[in-house]
Amino acid sequence: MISGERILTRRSLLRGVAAGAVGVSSLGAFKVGPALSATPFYAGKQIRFDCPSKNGGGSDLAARFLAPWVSKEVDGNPTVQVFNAKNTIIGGNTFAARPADGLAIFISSASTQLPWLLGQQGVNYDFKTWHPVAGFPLGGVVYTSGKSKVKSIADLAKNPGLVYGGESAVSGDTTAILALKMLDVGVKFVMGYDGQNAERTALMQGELDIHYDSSNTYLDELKPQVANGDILPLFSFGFLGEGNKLVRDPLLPDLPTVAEAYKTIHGKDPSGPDWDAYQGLMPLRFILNKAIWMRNDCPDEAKAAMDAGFAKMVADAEFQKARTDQFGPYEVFLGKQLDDAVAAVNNISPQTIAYLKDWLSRDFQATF
Amino acid sequence: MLHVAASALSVLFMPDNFIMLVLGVGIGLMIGIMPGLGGTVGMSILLPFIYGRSPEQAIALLLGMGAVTNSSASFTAILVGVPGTAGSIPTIVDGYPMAQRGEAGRALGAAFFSSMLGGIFGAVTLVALLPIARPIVLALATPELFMMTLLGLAMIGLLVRGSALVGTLMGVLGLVLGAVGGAPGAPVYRYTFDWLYLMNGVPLPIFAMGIFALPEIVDLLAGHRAVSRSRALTGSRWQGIKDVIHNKYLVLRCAILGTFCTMIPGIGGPVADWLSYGMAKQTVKGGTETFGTGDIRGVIAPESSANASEAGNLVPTLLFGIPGSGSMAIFLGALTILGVQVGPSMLDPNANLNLTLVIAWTLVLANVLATAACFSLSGLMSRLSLISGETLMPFVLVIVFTAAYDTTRQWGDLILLLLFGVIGWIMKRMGWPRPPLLIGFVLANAAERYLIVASERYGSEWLLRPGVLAIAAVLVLTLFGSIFREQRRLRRAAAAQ
Repeated sequence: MISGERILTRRSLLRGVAAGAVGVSSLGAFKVGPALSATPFYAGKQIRFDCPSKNGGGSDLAARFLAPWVSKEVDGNPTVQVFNAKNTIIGGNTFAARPADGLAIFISSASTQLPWLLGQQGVNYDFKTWHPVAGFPLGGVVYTSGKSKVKSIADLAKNPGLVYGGESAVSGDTTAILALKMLDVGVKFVMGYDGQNAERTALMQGELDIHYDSSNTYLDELKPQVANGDILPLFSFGFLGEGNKLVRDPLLPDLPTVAEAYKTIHGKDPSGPDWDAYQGLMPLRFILNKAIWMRNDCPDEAKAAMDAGFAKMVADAEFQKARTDQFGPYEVFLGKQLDDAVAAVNNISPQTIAYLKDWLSRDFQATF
Repeated sequence: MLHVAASALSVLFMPDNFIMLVLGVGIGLMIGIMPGLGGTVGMSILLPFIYGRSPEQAIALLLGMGAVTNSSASFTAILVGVPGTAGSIPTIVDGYPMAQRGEAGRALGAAFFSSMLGGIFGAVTLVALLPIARPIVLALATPELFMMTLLGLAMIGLLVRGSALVGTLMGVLGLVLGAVGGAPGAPVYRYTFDWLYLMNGVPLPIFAMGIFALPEIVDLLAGHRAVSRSRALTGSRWQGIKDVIHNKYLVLRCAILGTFCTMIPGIGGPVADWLSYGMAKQTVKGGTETFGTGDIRGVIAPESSANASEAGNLVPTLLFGIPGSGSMAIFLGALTILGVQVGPSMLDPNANLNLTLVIAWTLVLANVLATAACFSLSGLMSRLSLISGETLMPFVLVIVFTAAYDTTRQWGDLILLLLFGVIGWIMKRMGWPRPPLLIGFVLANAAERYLIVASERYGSEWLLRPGVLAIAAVLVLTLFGSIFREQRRLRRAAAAQ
């Protein structure tokens, strides 16, 4: 099942939704506000905010958090309504079929982009025909159960047969399993769990040894379990620094990245097709973890108004405070920086894509 | 302990908190009566309102709502054969035939009273179980969960009346229908016929309404009659309460089953309700013959477990922070928003024990309030079963179609509703049992998922785990017991001739 809607933490998102609702009621901005000066493009308009996840899923909560802010910050104070497709591919297709009138925006996650990138069956949308508005980055942490024999990164190599559990190979799990494959320490992958809660229970039961969560969830919810030894963090996915180089996750400056973990185990810097594929996926996985899009062929003034609205939003101290709870204290990507990340995704080499597809269909029976 | 419990109760009776509780219960009753809407939807609607409230108020509002959706769902299940929530589907099997006999009041009375008792039992068990639940939950890993789903599938055999072959085939068909959409474990889609709508699988509310509700509506309209075949209502709601008291051990057994099954994340409330129904059919006197034809005990069993399962779901939520159901996931989020850190601290008298007790009392009070409300309405509502189909059913049809369309708001919702309506109608006409179809459907995904994970993780070793062997023993005993009993019944019937 392709969902993997757990890249953002459910609870911090819920908190954000509640906070957003209150913020809005106090601002009174959810309804159409008074139009100023020469009528802005969005004055008196209604925006459909298409979201590909199910109720309460990561993208859904993120969209519901953002909706009142879009209404408040975009010139003309449009009404914003979230529409939920409950499935990532159906959601993408739904948005792709909307008219190019500028009245529809879309929130994607890594689990919307990955099926598109790999050309999975049923995908009728094309990110190359869309205009990116904003990117909300997020990293991830791979950790092991306190019950397993692994006490350090070096121990990983000494204990082949450790079990990693996940939901589906083409989802938020892809980065984690690719990272563990690259480390080449004989981890066994068991896919089919019913989401994060089932996996965490299995970790407590000792059925699983290794798992991953987003950096935000890790800091919010797992820190107490780290303190009492139930969980041992191993390495972070890393983050994208200057010149698309892998650097330490700004949320977890003390934790080595997967590249450092590789060096600890193998004594040299990572290289080869796994590393190329991992680097290829990084912009998609980290920078565009949640991203806002419009159709490229909608009116220029609509795109300009939306871009300006998000820029204004990011400059708003109140928004910054609310969204730090929501997405973690990462920088929001806009404008040129964002375009570069999107270009990096669009320019992933065909060899890398072929390599990923070959691996996923050979090891995980994925069909494309 | 008693002192703390009393003070928690008095906290709940403070005006601010009590208003929230009443509000929650009212909303829960309304949500329960709407087909297709359940606790998860209710929780997500109410979530924004808890910001800035005290944890006690939030608990009263959210759990007051969540605890009672199953109670009011009995109205539609019994009176018109439309499932209000997933948990009320087994209630239809015997409750609706009772309404057809003119005994709607009795069935409703029994349903409300037994779900109240189940809810109260669940609340008490919650407090008693929290300190000892950890090893139980940790002992039930994926292989054991798979065996539990097998036990659920074995219920098909117990529920079948008439041809065992037809019943089994219906169960298998249910399994196939449940496999539509994304496969667990591998990124593959099945039986979607390149229709994108089906990628998400068949939604349970649509399936249940199509199979159970539409055929009844069609037959009522075609037959120019009301739900009740007799002109007068017999058997009052008070009779229903007497029935429940008469079957108090059945209530207890089903409440225990409901609480324990839902305590394990991965076994949902609907599964527990079917297990209760099947267990009751097998164990009560003469149950194998009368269940399905309007036996009051067939109403009492699933209703006793339905509200108990709400408490069961709370055990892993409060103990590990692992929600056992969709609505619990949102409830857990709400607790986090309010700064309540769940875990062992929920049992610590110096930390959150008082909140745990507030939760338990909320479940108790919500169940009592809901039952009082439903019970006082039941006299009036049961008269609905006397109204002719031509007058009543257009309204029911509108509700059913609106509820179906609200599931994903795509054309597919309505197409599938009609499709399953036709299938359900054919099954009804042919006398093929419909519950096995539904059980197969409900368990398909879990059974496949657990089997894949168990064999990927453990190879074939999982077959020899003690927990697996224990459940397998129960399974074998259940199956042979029912075969043996059936044979004895046939021999007796032959001897009587």
